[in-house]
Amino acid sequence: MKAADLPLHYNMCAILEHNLETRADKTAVLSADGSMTFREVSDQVNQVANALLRSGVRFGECVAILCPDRPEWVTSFFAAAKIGGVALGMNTLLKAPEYDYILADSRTRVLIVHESLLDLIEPVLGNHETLEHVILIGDGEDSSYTRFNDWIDGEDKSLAAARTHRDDFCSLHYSSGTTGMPKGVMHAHKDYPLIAQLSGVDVFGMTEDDRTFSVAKLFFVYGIGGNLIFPWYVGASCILHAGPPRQAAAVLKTIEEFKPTIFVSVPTVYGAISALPKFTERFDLGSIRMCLSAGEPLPARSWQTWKDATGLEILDTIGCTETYHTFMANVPGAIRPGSSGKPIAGYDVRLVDEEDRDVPVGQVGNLMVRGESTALFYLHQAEKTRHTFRGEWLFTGDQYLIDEDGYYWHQGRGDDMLKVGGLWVSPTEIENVLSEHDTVTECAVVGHYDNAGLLKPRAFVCLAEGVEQNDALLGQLLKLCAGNLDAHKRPRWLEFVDDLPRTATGKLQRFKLRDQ
Amino acid sequence: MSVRETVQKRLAEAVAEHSPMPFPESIDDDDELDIFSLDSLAFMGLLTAIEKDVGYIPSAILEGDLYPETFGELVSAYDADGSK
Repeated sequence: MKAADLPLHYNMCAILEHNLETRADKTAVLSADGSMTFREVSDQVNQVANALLRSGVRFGECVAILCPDRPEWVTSFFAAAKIGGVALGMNTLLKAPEYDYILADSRTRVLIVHESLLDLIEPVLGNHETLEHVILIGDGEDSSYTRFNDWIDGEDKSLAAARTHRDDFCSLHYSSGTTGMPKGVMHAHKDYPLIAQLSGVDVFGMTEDDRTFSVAKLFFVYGIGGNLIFPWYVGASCILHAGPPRQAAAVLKTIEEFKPTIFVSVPTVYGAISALPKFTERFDLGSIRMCLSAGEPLPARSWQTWKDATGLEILDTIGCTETYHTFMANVPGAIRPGSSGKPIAGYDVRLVDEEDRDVPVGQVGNLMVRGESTALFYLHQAEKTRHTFRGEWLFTGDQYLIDEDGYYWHQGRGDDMLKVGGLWVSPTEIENVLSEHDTVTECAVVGHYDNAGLLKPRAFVCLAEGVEQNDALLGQLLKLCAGNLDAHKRPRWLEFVDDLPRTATGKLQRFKLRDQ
Repeated sequence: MSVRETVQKRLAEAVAEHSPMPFPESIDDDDELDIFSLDSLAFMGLLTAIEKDVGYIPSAILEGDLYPETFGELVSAYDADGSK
């Protein structure tokens, strides 16, 4: 499939609405908050879209959504795209300064926020002149904001989609960087059917008989792709789970209750589930026919443990926010555990050295990818754009080698970024928090593999002269991290050192710390 | 050894294995588990270690309704099932 196969004027809401012709009364969404048919979803999308228009949202303006995975997230996202706006699914794990940056960078016009997350973003809401409406999802008593249900109540359940060009932007996704605030990545209407066909259908073989469930939340491209766009593209149903994935038992319970056929997960959760003895006897996982993994490399040992316990083979894949979804994958019948598989149809990859020359088989190179779903730039970040978007090719920052059979093996990152539990972590952010402590003169954070073969942050800390290294100080530093960093960003190890390895010119030699 | 003592002993072992945080000499019911930064895998390991001693994982945790935030909540979950 090529983008040119799509009509010139195309709106991604067609991925939902094509289902109205043949399966309007089929369940589209299952969740603990209730189920909705395709017709019911479409009706609410139109109500939200009409409410957005009434609120003054115009073509190209941003509608931000800060909400757990619930039906309102879905209808708000499609509604924003349907009127020609830009839908922004906000990461629910961020802190107020990051929300402040994103609201400003995106010039969000309307924020739709769930009451359980309001405290995270409320302190910065007054900073933004472009933010004209805050809509609150939930049934609480707070009357300071317009309630979602009141906002859409009485709105018309029909609306023609805006006449968007297939290349018009319809969604904005923020991805963490090594330095500074998150990078805004915009995707176009065309990218949605492209990824659904190239990955969902051509690689994963999804059909309308499937039912998907993802532990990766909808604000991740991996989550929205695998658990919303792909299933609806083929007329399948999706299961939304509002709880955090750290509750592995809740994940198992959700599988048993809602019986997905496709399980979209990440290595950390596969590991957590596998750590529960006899989990297949405690929970019925018999509905699952296919398991996907992404976010970070899946250790071969984890793949085998899962296969031994369930009989199911995990398809490990790699994609990124910039390409929207998968560009390499292990496919059924041709799996090489521990590898990222091979490029899928629609994408080309290269491994290059620092002079942009292709490296031979068996040699490590920088991974470049090209494909039609790739974004064009980082919003308001020209320098980072030039570094990453190189003509047709995207510089991923991942380092790989290819074996004689054409499989790609992850060898780490070319920059300092870490992927922990499927989430980007910048060492700089952790270092900045540790450096706030009066006793810390300098520090450095690198990645280190735990016993399960998964990467975690490891901190090296230098103390001021005369400061004693003891458990009390260690506890203070870790409490500082706990108070300022999400759980996945906190150091798994913290070591006191006399000094950090540096070059003659003073540049930090992180590779020496990684090797310790 | 009481259930509380068992939970405390296994928690201390899990923290020693999976967290850089020194386990405190004494722990109160209000102390938050989050401070130990145990990830989902470490937490599942803790549950299975306690199960070996007491013979069960509390249904509220196993069925996904509860993710204990404090030491007291964790102990209470075991007490609740143990008294059934």
